[in-house]
Amino acid sequence: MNQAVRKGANESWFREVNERLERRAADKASSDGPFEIICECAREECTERISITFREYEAIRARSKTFAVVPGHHDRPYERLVSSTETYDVVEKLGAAGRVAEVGNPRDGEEPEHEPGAD
Amino acid sequence: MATGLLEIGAVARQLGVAPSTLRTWERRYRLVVPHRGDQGQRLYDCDQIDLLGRVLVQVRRGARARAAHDLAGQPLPLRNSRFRFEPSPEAPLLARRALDELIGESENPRLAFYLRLVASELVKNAVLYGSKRDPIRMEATLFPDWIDLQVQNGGGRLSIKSLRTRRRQGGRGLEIVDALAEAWSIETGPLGTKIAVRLLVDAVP
Repeated sequence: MNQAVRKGANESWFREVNERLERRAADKASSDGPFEIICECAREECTERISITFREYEAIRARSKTFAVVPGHHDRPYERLVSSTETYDVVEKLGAAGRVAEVGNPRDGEEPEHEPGAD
Repeated sequence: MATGLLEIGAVARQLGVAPSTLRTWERRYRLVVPHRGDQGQRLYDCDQIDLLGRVLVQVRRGARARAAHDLAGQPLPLRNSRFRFEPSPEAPLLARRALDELIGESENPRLAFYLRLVASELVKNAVLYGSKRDPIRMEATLFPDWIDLQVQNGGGRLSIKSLRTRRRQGGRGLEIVDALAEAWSIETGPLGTKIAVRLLVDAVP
């Protein structure tokens, strides 16, 4: 597995965990309060947490190549920064890593009408 | 009699138990249900005799009959590894690396990724909340369809609530375990805490 593909795979696998964390949080929460996900950066050893609302999370998930990472965890050769908030950055995977992210998307990947992380 | 099948008397003699014991085990535990011959007699094939042998090994080690059947009925592990780490900040990373011996990247990279994630979170918990002197013990056993992972630390009793305490750098781990594990359990007492997790090979996540 080359480096770009591996980085894409790592982020996709973190995304799969976060999808489960979101479902679990949604089962418990009644409002759009924040819940916690794992940083979706390409570094496998990173397990930092991000506090995020359901709305923000859904906006990121609406695109198959966008991921939420802790500020500063943006991996420049393989990603571009889409937007920043106080608690997380939204990055878009590029090239081979982006293709891995698309293939591994657990959702159908409908494109949102707004920029992820910008609301 | 079909080739390779033995009647209950022959099996009982071979195993050194009474035929009535085999009938009782069959009725109670349904682990070994023999074939039936033309006259309705019980007939055991080689696999069933092997399985009864495994039950007897457990009984002779002191297990009660039900537990012996439970243990014997489990598939045999493919690989098992045990590790110990000093309770240092490096322990989670060492735990990740150690697991590469058990399940290689090329074998199932996605499962290996989730196993390393769960292990590092549990070891991180052990470092943060366990004894600062006693080593952390980790055991991983690979079966055909699942992996059992145990992480054990010394120290006082822990509450689930303390393990769920908000912490930005991670290490709470339990919500990740909840999300990924088929099953998990925690045993905590005055001498330490052991968390056991089962990850299914095909269902992660």
